[in-house]
Amino acid sequence: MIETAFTKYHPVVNFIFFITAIVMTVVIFHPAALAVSLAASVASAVKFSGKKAVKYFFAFPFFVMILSMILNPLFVHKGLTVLFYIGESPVTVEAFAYGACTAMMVGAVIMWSYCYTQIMTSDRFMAVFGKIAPSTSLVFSMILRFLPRARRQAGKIASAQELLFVPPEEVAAEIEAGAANAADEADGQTSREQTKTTKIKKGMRVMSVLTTWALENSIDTADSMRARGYGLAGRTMYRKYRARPADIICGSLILALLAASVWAKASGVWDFYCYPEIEFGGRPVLPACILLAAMYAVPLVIEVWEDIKWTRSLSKI
Amino acid sequence: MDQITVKDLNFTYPGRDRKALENVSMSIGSGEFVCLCGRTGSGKTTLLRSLKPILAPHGERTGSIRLLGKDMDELTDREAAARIGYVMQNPDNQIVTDKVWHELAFGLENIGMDPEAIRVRVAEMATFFGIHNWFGRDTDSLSGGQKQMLNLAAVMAMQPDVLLLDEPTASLDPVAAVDFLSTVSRISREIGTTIIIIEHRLDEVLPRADRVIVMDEGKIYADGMPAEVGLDLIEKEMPMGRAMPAPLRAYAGCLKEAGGDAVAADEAAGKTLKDEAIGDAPLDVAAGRRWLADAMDGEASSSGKDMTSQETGAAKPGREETEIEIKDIWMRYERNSADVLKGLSLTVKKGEILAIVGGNGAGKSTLMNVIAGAARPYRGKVVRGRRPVGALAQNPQLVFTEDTLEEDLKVASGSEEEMQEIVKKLQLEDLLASHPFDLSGGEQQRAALAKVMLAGAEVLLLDEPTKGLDEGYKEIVENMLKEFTAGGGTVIVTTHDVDFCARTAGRCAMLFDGQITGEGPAGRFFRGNAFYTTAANRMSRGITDSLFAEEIIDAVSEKRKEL
Repeated sequence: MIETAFTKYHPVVNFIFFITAIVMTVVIFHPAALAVSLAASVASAVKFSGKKAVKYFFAFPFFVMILSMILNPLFVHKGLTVLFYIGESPVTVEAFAYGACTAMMVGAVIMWSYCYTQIMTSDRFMAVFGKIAPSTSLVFSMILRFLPRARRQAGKIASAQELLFVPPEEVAAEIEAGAANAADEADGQTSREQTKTTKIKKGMRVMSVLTTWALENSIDTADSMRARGYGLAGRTMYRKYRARPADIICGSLILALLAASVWAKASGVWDFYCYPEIEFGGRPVLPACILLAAMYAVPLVIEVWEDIKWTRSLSKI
Repeated sequence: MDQITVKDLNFTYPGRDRKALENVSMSIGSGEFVCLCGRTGSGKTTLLRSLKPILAPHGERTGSIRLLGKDMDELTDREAAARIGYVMQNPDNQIVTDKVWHELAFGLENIGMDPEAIRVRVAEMATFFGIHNWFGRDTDSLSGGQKQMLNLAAVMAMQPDVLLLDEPTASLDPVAAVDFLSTVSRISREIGTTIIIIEHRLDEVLPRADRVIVMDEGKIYADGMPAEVGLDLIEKEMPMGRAMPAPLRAYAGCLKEAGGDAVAADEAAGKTLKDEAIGDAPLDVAAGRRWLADAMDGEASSSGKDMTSQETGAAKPGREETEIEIKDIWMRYERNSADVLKGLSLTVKKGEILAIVGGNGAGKSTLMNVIAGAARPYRGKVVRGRRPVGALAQNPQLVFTEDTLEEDLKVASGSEEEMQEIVKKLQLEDLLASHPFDLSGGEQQRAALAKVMLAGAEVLLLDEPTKGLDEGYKEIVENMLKEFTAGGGTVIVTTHDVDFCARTAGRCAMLFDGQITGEGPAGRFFRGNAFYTTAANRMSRGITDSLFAEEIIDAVSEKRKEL
């Protein structure tokens, strides 16, 4: 979880932004729009998480993009402008262009999702949906509490069982070798298979103990919930986040920019076709592109603006 | 006005013949701080749960319970939820949500409080309980003490009139436990909430409580001021008497030595001496010191020094074989994490009981894992003998695998007789048919101990073996461990229980900051410490320098003979 200028805005604003960004990236299939989205997503990720984001970019989406750029022209032979032939199959400019656009789209979506996971922690997510589905969001919260606990408990059970009786090391080695030999002679099983079955058996035992543990302890949890009045009529929902005027302004701005881009898309500004020949809609793209870029850049602008304000207030001290 | 009135309450669990509660009557006034104690299985929890309607056990009930001026059945669910708070034993199981702030708000959401009002209440509670520093954290990342404090705060957020606590510190370490109990007593003093607490740490609770109720076999055995009840229990040699704070036990013992006759005679004459005795009875170390200094005329005696020579099970150096030798080990869990053990060296001798003491996070559990071979140090050497090792994890629940205790123990043991013997020694006969998870904390601890002993290891590693045990069972465990080592076994325990250490261990080693900072025969070790030692030792430091209440009693009576 990180704390930045953008997380100071209400989770609903954060959520609207990310959904808008991801949907618009997928919907507007146009090299300029995709390039803007990719650039903004990478820049935002770096602004939020610094070096970690750069590492992530080169570890995962970068490779997916390269793959897409190489594989599409190799396997798709549509398109009229042939560059060269590999054996019998033509490699076309159009397939290249399509591969490049898909690469940018996938890269941008992955990077926006990365930003999303950095900003939208479980409690911010719940703040968005708590009001719409309060009981579901409580269950969600309980699951989030349970999972890490169960994982840790499983580890503890396994080690506690193992340590109940630890034979001395040398003796243990002898026994194991002996047992394996005997098994070998008996039915040709290898010692590796032998340890595999014991491993599975051990795993099953841990799972069975873990299940008992979860059921037994959930009785306590249920008691604790009822003791604090769970199940009474008229449950309310505490909201940790309050909407400020800035949230409303920022949210409306995102929605207005979204509306403008949707209108641009609907009126054909963003028309773009790869096959059979690369073809643009014919209308000037620049104004629409600026509007779209403005939308993608909302968190960046907020971050930079905050930085400026911060240095200014520092200089006053 | 009385907030809780119980009259002739009888209760029987379905399918049982014996009554869990028998003719229980009590009334508790507004703002009282009551400690409810008794041995395991005496009906404390049944009584406490009966006072919270939604948690009341099912079974056959007669008699009446009045809560908050109403009959229990007239109380609405909403009132019962908000006005009677209940904190249970296990800190983990009570937490419902994944965020600290959400947990605080949970109860208030349930009773349908306005979100704005919740905001204020949550802030107020977080500040009162010192939670504001970890308000935004995941509940999963908290320590046990913090978790239990959160549970208390989450209950108190509903502003209950009555707060019921069922062994809330049973799974906490001493520092966290004292912290928790002082917060409870702060609630009593500053908010005036009526409190009933079941607690084994009587040293900590009795000085703070207004009143103590002792239960025995489903009946109320005694009900009164802590000093009065305590003296009575010790005088009548009730098992609960041994659980009383050391200063009180020393005082009562001396009173008896000085002449039970005098008291008895005076009782006939009008009870004045006894009343006076109750007034003087010390419950905590400070009062104990004042009394003892008075009794010994403030004179520092040398008797303590004589005792160091006759250590309990003191090591006779030179002759013993070495069981385990640890040389300069360094250990960390992850490449970039901090070192947990930093150049630790330790020698364990064959046939001894070695206690490793130290605060939380000092590396005790890590050291145990290294000895058991579950963790490998990245530098240094561990030389283990050719004897099998058995380790018992701190949470006894982890070792059970079967559906009944009997099957579980059979899995571990070779022979039937061996099993019967250990079962008998640990008094587990009646529990054999139960599911291991259905046992209480102390019962589970004993059952787990039986399992590890049956597994046949000759070197035992026990992590907090006395956790959740009452005084009587502690003694049984102590004797078993002594017998085990007499038979050639070696025992290494980590513990926070100083009294257990002083009585049982031959040698103590203090672990601090990843190293052994001090070690020695238990008696000398504790006499050398000013804080980390028994209550009796703190009380008698510089006066008689005794380790146990019994030693103080002897010293005082000797002094009296001199006069």
